[in-house]
Amino acid sequence: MATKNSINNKSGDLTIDPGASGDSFVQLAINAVNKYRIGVDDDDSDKFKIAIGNALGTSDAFIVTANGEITKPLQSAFSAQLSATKSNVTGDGTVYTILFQNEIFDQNSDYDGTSTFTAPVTGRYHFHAAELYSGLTTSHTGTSYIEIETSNRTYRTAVGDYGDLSSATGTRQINLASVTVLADMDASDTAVVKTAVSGSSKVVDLALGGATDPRGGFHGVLIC
Amino acid sequence: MATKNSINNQTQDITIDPGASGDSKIQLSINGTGEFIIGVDDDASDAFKISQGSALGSNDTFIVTAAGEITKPLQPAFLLVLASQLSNVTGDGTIYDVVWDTEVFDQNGDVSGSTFTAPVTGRYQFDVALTFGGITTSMVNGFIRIDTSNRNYLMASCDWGDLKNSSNEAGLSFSVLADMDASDTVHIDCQLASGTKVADIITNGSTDPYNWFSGHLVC
Repeated sequence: MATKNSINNKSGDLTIDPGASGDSFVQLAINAVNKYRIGVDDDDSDKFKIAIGNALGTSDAFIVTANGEITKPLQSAFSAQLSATKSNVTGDGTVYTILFQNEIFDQNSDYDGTSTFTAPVTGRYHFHAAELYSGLTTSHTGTSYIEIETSNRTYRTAVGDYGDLSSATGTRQINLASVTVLADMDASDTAVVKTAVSGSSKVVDLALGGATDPRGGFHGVLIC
Repeated sequence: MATKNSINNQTQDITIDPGASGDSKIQLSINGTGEFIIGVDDDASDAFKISQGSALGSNDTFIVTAAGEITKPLQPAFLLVLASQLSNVTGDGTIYDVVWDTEVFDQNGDVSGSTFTAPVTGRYQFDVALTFGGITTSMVNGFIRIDTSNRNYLMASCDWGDLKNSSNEAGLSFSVLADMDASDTVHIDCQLASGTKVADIITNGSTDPYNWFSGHLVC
């Protein structure tokens, strides 16, 4: 049985068409407050959008292009790198929280610009971190690793003999420390990257590489 | 020309408003059965939702918060970790299928045992990390592998006997975006070779794992 305001005529679809110009949309409101607008943005190459508020093109949360590519401009996502070489931060087993102070992007503003990402909502977040170590010695044979420390879990990998594996010439560098995981985060949980190199003295640096040629970084995105 | 049920009046927008309370929604049905419902969930901080069935809040597949964050509570996504050590699993060339003992989450229920099965054809991101212990200098070959029905992604192929630290431990991780057909499977295996079968996969409990296998449907 059809309910009030329902459309159940099999011979007629529901079509919204503004005519020669204008957006084709449906406005969702509660008590006269416009919450979301769904529709086709006539001013933006006829993209389909789900937007917050009462306009397409201002606070777009979800966009489908005419070719089918999907972007989410307000989704929580960030990328940060070192702003400068961090000198003598480990080597004697010191656990160092890496300061990624060069923020490449911080969509939704959940990264603090220094080291810490805070989950805005409960969900599954994909994180990746990597770093370039420099100034190693052959004595740095102890427990060395990189880890992503979240409120729920700490993910450690890249365990190995960094001293032996570092390049044998120059400042003895190694660039194999990398960690990637899909992590469970509750709203307000945090994530940081830590590392340690062990076996000798505290002379190991985390090297910059270059702002446009990074050798490491900390990246994350809300997946689902 | 307007067709039946069409709306083309430029001066009259379509606004759905339940009034002081209630959801602002559109029900999509076929033959009287509510298939999907789209709208604003008044009981969930006014989040925008696409839900299965006839109610917002029961089987939400797509959620946009008022700040624009998007979650997909039914999207295939999983995280498996190891809580207990796996002893003497390789070292002599044995290819060991990793048996994960702890499921942190399995959104959509696609993991059985240590195997993920793709529910739909698509592109899936997979991440794996393994840390071995008991490594000897003789174990000069080895790898970690993500085995899918279409392709086997072999990485971390190196001299693990040289990679190990002074505690005879070494661990690596890698990732891939893999093409999977519906019902394709993926699991993790590994090998250390040229020594004896004394290499372990060492752990640090499920809270601070050294080993994990995670994945999710990307597109």
